[in-house]
Amino acid sequence: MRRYVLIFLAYCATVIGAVAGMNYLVDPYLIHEWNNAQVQRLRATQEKLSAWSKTYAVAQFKPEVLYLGNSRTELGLPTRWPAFEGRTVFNAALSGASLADAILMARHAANVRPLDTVVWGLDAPSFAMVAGNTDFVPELVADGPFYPLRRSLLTFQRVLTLEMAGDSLRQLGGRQPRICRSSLALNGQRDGACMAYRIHGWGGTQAAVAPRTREYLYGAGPTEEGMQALAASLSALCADATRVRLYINPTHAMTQDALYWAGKWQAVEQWMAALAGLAQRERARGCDLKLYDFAGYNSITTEAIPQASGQTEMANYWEPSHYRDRVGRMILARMFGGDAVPEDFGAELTPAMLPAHLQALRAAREQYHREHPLEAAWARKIARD
Amino acid sequence: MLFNSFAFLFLYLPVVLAGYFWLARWGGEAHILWLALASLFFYGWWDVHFLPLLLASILFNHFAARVVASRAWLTFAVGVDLVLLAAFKYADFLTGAHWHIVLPVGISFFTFTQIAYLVDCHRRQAGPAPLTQYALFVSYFPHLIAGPVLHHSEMMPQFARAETGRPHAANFAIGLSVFVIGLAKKTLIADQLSPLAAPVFAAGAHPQWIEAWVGVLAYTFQLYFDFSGYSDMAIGLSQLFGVKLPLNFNSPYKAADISDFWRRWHMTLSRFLRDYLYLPLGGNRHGAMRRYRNLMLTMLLGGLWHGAAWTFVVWGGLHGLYLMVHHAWRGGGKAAWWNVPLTFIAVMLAWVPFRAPDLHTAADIWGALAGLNGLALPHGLQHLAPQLHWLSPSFDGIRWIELEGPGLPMLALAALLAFFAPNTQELFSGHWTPSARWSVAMSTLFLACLFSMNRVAEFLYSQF
Repeated sequence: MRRYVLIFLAYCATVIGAVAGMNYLVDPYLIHEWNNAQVQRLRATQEKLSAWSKTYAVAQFKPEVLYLGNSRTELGLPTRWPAFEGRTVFNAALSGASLADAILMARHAANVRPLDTVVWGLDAPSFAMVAGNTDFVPELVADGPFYPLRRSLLTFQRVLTLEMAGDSLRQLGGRQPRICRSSLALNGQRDGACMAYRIHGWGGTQAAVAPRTREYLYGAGPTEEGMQALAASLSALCADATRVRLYINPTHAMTQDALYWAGKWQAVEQWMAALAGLAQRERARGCDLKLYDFAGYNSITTEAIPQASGQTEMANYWEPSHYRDRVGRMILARMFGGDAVPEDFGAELTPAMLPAHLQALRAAREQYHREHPLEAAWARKIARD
Repeated sequence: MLFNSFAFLFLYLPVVLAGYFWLARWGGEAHILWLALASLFFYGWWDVHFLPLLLASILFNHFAARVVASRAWLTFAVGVDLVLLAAFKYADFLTGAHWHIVLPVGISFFTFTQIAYLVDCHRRQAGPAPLTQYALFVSYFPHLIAGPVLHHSEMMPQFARAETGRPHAANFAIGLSVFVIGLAKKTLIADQLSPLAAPVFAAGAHPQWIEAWVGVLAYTFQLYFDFSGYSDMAIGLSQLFGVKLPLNFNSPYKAADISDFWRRWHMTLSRFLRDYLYLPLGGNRHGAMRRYRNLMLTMLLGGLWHGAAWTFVVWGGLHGLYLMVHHAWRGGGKAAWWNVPLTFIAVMLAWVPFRAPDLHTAADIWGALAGLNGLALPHGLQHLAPQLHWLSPSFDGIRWIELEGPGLPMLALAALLAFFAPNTQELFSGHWTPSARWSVAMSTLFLACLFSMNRVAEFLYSQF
């Protein structure tokens, strides 16, 4: 019997030690790396377990300024900005994140240290409390003095996966592609080189227009449950005297038009009204909170798609769902001051101005349909499909 | 803390085991106290707010055991236990209002365990025990969250024996191996079946025939492998400490009739219901009609034990009905080939309200099983429309079941294992040997479980 137990324990310890040791040392997903050479290395375009790597980075970096949201914010918002000079800034937005994931990240960062400023990108379709595509398990949220120990255990659990072992071996064997930098190398912002490579792989911007517009519609939001959860999260941030800037992502006008053709526009208007009301209530309680709308039909979002312009790329967009960081700079400039921004790009939403704003949006949509018949027809077809 | 979590496997368990055997070397009851404290810590890990409730319940019943010789005190003490259980578990159900009361984990298990103890003290079949042993009996972590429902007569003597605290290689070998079998049932089988069942049972899913059968079958096997896996883990863990827990499952889906099923499924709960409910109600002593009444009452209350909802009442009522029909028709005839499948189908149909969120959904799924929601086939089979026209199928596709992926093969494997493979105790009494080959096989199985445990799933039975 003793031999049986010894063989059992020795065999398990050897395999566990070998796999865990290799994965921990190689750490192909950077789940416990920050501010070192490993983070700066070129790697594959797809970031796995980015919720794990970013929560770890936040716990180490302890940012004062935090960006939240999904891949749009992650790609679009640069962390170097004059208004934040001298402060630690981290882009904690996550590809595939739902509102629930962003709320978890906000709680995590606020538990690490009280935040000075939060910039939070929102979209109607992803505004739901469903689990996003991020592997963001609630256990990753910092909560108290035992967090480092708990996090170590979680990391130990995560490194015991065969998938990671495969990626570790590929990396050790030099078989991992070296395309672009990790988002950790840019304080959380996704490297545009990753996106450029992937767009090229899809067959260029032109080929990505339809699938990305269709994908934008998939989300379960906006939901009432999401609004309540956001309200609770904002209350907690405001209680810590955090300055909050919410903004509606400037996805391409085609995506907004597809929402309209999919019959979701009324829900979007109600969502904007609820957001404006929420912001107003928090301001009345003394919170420094503002809400901006960059979406809709303006000089940035109505840029012609390659099929209409004959160009291979778009200046403002990677594809209709994701804006480039030149647009992100305009967003930051509108909210915090900086370079000149087109007059029609970005409006602060308040309950008082909302009816006129929505009216203007409807009129702009009609104008868009007249002036961009190709995009409008595509959006309509995608929504109907 | 779940048994299938890394915190439990690599931190809690080694520390508690080491402390237990180290303290046992010095004699006395220190190791019992250590295990009781570790069990309370284990419970507090779930939600520390309910720890005072468990402690108060232990202290109250410990002292009540000294006075329950009188019937009035027994009634009072059992009444307090039941009121506590009712307040947390049945307040919404009984009042029809939403009190937003969070259910303390394992409250049904520690309440029933202690009621049995009080009743036996009243019957003079048990005497007051030292507080440390009693606290450990109630809070003993392997069983605390999801059973087995322990009986003091089989636990207290083990805690009192000095031999229990001595490490034995045989206990480690068998305990580790039984634990691994349970872990594999949970992580490799039950968790893989969950995605097949959950969408079909969602409110408003309105599944069609194929979806309903696959979903209900998947849940039938998921529940068995989940719960029997948990029981195996509890038994294996307890064996590591030198404490034997009672068996809780004995291949229930091989049962040849519904009475047989209840002798094989959640055996410790069946035993409790028989000894402390069915027999005190009169059992089969006062004629057929009283027996049927007692069977129905026992099963209805057994249903309510699982949860405060009409769906559980219907589940219990169905089993009560099955038992009545079985007893009415039992004529000592020869076993027929269809006994096992018929029993299985009856049990499976009863799991529908057990799992469904409401009776409307349960009725819809029953209808779907009978073909009332139509038959939808994958788009790819459109070319077979002429041959299949007599089934009047649509070719709208299978919405709620992922045809690709590990779910369906795992469902087939689960069925084969449940119907034809030896169960855990048969495996260890007739096949397993402490050989190097078995050791490597068990450790490989353990590693397979470990590598599949990226996400920790809750045990289904901890809800009860």
